[in-house]
Amino acid sequence: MYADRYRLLLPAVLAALLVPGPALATDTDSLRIAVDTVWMITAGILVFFMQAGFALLESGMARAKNTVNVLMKNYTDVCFGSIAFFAVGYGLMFGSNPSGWVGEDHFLLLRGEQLDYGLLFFQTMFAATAATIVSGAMAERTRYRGYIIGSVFIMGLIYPIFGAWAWGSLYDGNGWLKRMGFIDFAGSTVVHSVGAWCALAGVLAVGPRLGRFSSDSRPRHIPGHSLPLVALGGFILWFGWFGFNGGSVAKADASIGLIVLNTHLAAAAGVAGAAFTLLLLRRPLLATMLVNGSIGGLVSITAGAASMSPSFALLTGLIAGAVVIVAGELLLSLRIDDVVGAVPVHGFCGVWGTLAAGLFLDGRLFDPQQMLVQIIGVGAAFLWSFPTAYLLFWAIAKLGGLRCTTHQEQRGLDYTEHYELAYPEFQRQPLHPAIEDAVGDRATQEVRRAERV
Amino acid sequence: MLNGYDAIVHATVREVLPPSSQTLALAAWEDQSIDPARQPSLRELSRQLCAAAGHTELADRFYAVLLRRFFAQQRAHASPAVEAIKPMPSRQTEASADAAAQPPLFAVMVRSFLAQLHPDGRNGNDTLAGALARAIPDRDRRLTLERWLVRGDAANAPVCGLEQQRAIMHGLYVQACEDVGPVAADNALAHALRQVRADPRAAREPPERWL
Repeated sequence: MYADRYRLLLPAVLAALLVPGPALATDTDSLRIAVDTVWMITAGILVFFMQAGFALLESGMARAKNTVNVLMKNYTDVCFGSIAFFAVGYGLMFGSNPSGWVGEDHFLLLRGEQLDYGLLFFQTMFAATAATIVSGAMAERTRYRGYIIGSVFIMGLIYPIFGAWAWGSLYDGNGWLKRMGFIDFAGSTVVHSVGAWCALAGVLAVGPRLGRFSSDSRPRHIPGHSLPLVALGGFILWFGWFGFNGGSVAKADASIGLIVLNTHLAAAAGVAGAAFTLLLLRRPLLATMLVNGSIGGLVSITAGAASMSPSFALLTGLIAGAVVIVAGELLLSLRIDDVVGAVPVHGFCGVWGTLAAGLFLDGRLFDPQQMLVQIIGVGAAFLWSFPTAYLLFWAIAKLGGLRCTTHQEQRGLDYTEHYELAYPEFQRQPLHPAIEDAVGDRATQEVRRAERV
Repeated sequence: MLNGYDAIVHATVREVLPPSSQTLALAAWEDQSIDPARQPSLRELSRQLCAAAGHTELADRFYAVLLRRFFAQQRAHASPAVEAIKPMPSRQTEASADAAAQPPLFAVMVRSFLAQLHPDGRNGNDTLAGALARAIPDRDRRLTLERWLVRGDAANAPVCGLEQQRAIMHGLYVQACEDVGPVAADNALAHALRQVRADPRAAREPPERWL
């Protein structure tokens, strides 16, 4: 079989030898750039598909009456946020950065080159991931408009500025964390922890759902409406993560093999770690917890996927699974209502993953100097994103746009914010007057008639 | 032989008022109870009996004891689920049995919600009291509504507009969320809706209007 393949390749190799040297080099470079670009775009598309995973996971973990609201937030934060990232965020994050703090050009990509476009597309998907983490944590009691305003600021300002410190710049100068040697390959801290600290700020600003905690502070379980959606969302996120980490090489080369393998192993170990921890704590093996365990594993390997061996990736994921469970319990004991567990999964596992990238660095295991840099990076992410996001959500709340009313919580945000129901066959609610006639629902018309009387 | 209501009033008189004035209060009660149609509210009854006994300062305590006994007897006589908050027999309800046989749909909804929330009958009245406290600032009106919703006598239904009914249902939901959690509150609300929709009157009064 291999002999046949070589026989077919031989004429092509001979033809290549016959062409002049410089032309061959140019063609090879062009081919490499083309292949790299195709891989990066493909990876970007995979990362975009993660939005579907987030939407399914978060809506499945919410009650049926809030499904449309969660879906709408996931669908539209990408849209508004992408515009903000294109206009401002990309320049702040990757523009020329001589000071090491913030990018100063490439806003609206006015001076773009061919390679920039693919990179901007790929990085926009990363920014969208950071923003969408917030929606799940704040689900079921946050107003749609308030959330969208928040996500625009996260994608346009909070995420890019920290990104400039750790990843900037692509053109001139380096971020101060990057200069120190901070390792965060695909964004355990830059993307996931920043998103999670924004989520934590939002959750604190908006407060817990009605009745989430009893008067003596005991948490009450509020199950989501669809575990199949949760599981499917988990699978899609896992699938998309191969692009998230694999695409972060920004070129199509052999290193992708290790990265993708590490990614997969960490996710699998995350489930095992969560399961062991639940068994140790004598808790049932809840599907939501195991799915979160896999995502925790994925988040944790994101920082060191390219720089640690597969066995350490396994260990990183295993510990991340335990972190998801323990951090979830910690938040509940503090009366923090995070609907999907975004803060334990993306925040705490992001921190662990970034530290693990320093601990298990190939060739420099347990290097204290590197660990110090990693700790500084993790701390800087929190100190920048949490207070800024809290200020942002506090301001939105003060303007009356963050927390929905208790009546909206009773009716569900689908009806009160969007006038649409996710499952109209099973949810009988009056609809918006503008569409009730089209729907022709008798109960709705009766209610309207009674109200008019 | 004393009926349930008589027994409660007699016991309250004996507990609250001094022995020397109990006869006067009971005589006033006998006068009151001749005409069931003109029977006053529990609050008013307390005032009148204490005034007749010459101890107006005890009216509040009398009312509190009367209410406690009233609800305690209700719980004692109640069977689980819906029975827990069915109206106890009284002279008035006996007199207007036909009207009471079909309590207003809104009261059915409230009672069904509470019965689902507290199947053992306990704490249902606390939830209702908490909800009304949220929805209705005026204390007297609140107590009148509370009594009406618990006893459910259609004849004395207080005027209660749609907005106020909505506020009461919402207050009940919020109180239920705090008392037993949002999952149980959602289930109870869905159950109450189903029960009311099964009533033929729901065609004219869709229960969704109270949400």
